[in-house]
Amino acid sequence: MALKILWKTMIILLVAGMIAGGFYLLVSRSPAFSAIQANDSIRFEQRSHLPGPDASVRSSLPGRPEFGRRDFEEGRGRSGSLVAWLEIARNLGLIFLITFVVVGFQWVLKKLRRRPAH
Amino acid sequence: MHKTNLILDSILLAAFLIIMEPRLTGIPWHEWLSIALAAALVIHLLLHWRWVIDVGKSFFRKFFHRSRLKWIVDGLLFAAFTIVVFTGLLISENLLPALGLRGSRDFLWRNLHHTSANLTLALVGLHFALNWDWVAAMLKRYLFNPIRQRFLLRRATSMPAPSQSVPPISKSS
Repeated sequence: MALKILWKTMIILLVAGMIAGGFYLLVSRSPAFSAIQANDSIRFEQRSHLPGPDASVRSSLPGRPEFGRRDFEEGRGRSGSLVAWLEIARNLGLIFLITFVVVGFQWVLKKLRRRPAH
Repeated sequence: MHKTNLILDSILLAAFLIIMEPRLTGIPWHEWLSIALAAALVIHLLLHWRWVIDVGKSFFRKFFHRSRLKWIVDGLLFAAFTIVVFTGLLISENLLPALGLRGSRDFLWRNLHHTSANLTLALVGLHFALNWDWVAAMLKRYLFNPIRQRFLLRRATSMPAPSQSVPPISKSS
């Protein structure tokens, strides 16, 4: 039994690995990826020539020019937790909206099928 | 078995919604919870293994069947979630450093992570919608019916006994 579960888990992880590997190959071989990487390295080069304070001025947070809203994302800015709960409610609402549309569509289809043909 | 599935699926949905909002948990919890969710998803797949194999085996035999659509949506959901976890691992800031590795700083992976997460949300909605019959039946059996029964029982105990209020019906009538 345990061996069977282990075997099934291995298959699931193998399929997931194949999907991830395929996706990585697809993205890393795309021309957009190499263009973005080249662009990033140019930006990095330019940034390394700038003095420290100037680089941070362009960002919303000092000292970390590449990311904005970092402390908010890291959960330190708890004033944003109401916004986060609203976002969760919005996501749940989206799931229910999709459910409502699909179930409604299925209901209409069922009604149309049951209607006697004249 | 149904009860286990319902509890696990409810936990999965709640965890997914919380993980979708890293501003609530912070990045470290977001990453570790995602790994826990991935493990829970493997358990979810193991619990539905028979269905996955059975529908997969007879996929083309009855192609225009509702279960085929479910199978395709579930496959896409699995692929989308795998990509979310994979891109999340690539841009990881706590999990990979904890293992002595360094995550990527590419904005491309970050964008792909966000896009695949949004796609996963839409697919979760579709998955939920296509299994709505089961969800509704289980909620009715394990949530609404017990609440209703408890409510009725409470009402019955609060009302006076029928022998006290209603006169007994005589056999002659």
